[in-house]
Amino acid sequence: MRVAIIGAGVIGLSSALCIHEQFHGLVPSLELEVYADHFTPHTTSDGAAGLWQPYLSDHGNLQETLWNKETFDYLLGHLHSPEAKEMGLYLISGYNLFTEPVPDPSWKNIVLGFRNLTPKELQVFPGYSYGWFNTALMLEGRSYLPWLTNRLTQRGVKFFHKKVESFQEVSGDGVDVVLNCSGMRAGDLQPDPELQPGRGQIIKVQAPWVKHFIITHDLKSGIYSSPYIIPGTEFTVLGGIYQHGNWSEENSAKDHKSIWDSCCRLLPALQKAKIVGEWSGLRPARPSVRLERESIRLGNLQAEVIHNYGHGGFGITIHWGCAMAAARLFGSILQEKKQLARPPGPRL
Amino acid sequence: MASPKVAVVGAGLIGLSTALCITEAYPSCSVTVLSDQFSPSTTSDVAAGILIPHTDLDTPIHRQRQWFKETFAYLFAISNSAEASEAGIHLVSGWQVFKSTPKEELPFWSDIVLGFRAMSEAELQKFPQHQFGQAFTTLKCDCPPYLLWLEKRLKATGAQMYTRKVADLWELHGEYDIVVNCTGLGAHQLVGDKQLFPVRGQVLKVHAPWVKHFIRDGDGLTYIYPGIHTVTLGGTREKGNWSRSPDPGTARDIFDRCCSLEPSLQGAQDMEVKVGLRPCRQCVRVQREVLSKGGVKLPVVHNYGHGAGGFSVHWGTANEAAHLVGECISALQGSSSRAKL
Repeated sequence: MRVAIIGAGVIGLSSALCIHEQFHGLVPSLELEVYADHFTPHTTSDGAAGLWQPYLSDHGNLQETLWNKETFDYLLGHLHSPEAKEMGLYLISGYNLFTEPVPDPSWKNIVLGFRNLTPKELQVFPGYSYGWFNTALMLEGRSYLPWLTNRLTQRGVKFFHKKVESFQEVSGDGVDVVLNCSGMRAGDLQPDPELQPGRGQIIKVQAPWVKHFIITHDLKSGIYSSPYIIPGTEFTVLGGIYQHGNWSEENSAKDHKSIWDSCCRLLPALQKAKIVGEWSGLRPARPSVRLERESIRLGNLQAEVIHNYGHGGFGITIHWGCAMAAARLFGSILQEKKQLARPPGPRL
Repeated sequence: MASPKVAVVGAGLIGLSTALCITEAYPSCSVTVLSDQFSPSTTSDVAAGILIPHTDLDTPIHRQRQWFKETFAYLFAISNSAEASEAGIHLVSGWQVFKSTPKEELPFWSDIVLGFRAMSEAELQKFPQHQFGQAFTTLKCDCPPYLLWLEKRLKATGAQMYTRKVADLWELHGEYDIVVNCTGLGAHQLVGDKQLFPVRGQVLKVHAPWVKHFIRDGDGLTYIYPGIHTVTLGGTREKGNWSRSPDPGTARDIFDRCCSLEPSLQGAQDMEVKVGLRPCRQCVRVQREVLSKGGVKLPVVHNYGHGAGGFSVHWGTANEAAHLVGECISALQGSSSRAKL
């Protein structure tokens, strides 16, 4: 049984790992292959700061809230494992700031210690009159993706550096299931007008005295269009750009100035921070994540495709829940192909 | 007395902050800092500099509270300014955890730090050996940066600093009008204060940039304080131990205790071991004294004996000591005008 995974960002690699973990024991002939034009450190996931935090509102999409929770709990469970450092996983606390009161988010009981900010805390952030404090997790792509790659390599998963132009390309060759984790480029494989870029730009600085994430919100402009500061292990990320429909991956001087000025206003000490890099990337935005099966007729062959893309700016936040869901879809495919007597339950 | 000459003996946290308070309150003074050690070789340089007060046994709580409140407010303002990184001042959040619920669940400083509250059950899961905990956000003064920044501010006021070992306060008579004694543990020798005793503290400074929170065991012995470039792991409280040499067995023990609080520290790199002798006393001595010898007088202001809690109260005691210096100046001006009559 050959499975081709298209895409080697956080979604592709984690889906591959999840499927291999669950099924390699049950399906001895299982062979996984990852195809991608970009590998770490050149994927979208590598550019993200890595903060676990969903958007402010789930728009009633309870399924996504559940996947977010699964991801958080899964990561929290790994926090004390010896792998945590290599995964780029650690606890981080911080602030979400608003200029007016807002309802509590869907994730308030998922994170740790969620509470409103006190008046004294708000003094740190002039211009903001309301906010939250909570403890969440960081999962740095630049560490997590290599960690996933190592786990997959150990398991005998093969990697191919190739831009896949169509599902036929991989499925025609005797591949039984295709996992479409192509993120922003999913539209190249199958048109999807709902998938649009949410362009972001970030500045990387040396500011090791910053120990908290600080995310401001402008309810009129929308998510990520207001300054944010996220401290990593090697540098701190300054951001605040979200441009829907902009496909450019070139750094813009105008966006640089906007990020720099607004972040320095938020944290005056940043004026002395040294800039060590800049990056632009395209969040694969979609009204909801596309996570579903599709049978594709390719000539006289039928291929099963599992789509898992469109995670916008919350890919890291939701990745494991989606990987588990993709694995369940894979299980049902196996059942249908009579490869499995019944779906795998929890190991006793 | 046109321009009183003030000598501040000691260039640790207390000496430098006191000197700065004096220059700010009494700009007509000329202030000189004299010390055998300057940063990075002072006791203060070893400390993590976290603002979590220790309860002084003899000082009234309201006075300790006032000192802490003043210190917190002063550092809070710096942390919000463009100077924060140079001054080494930053906010840090974290947890104080207890193996059994403490008698006093609300310490006297709980409303001065930010966001103080009891930890939730979910948060306590991270600490399986601990039953109870407090979460809050406080400030940290990284040394040497903070001390170097104080030195820079002092120099800007025109204050002088000299490396000099003062063996006897009377040495300074004639050269200086008022002496401020900020010699920490040195006061044991310098002014013969036998109430002063060292409480030896050994710490490790490691590179572990993924540690963004402080974790402190309520027993005060085990703690993890993330600074700008390194994380301070501690510690020990060895009463009466004068040894400044790092002990390898102790280092291993500290590391093990910290790893049990924060397992990811197993991956920490570049360990440096340091020792500091906390200048402990039943209570901090912030007091005015007029030394007298053969009809000659020497006004002295003492500001020492801060034990484990120096950083938490330093600005408050510096202000109080500066105020006492003001009293000395008035007394001198009073007596000099009487002398003119």
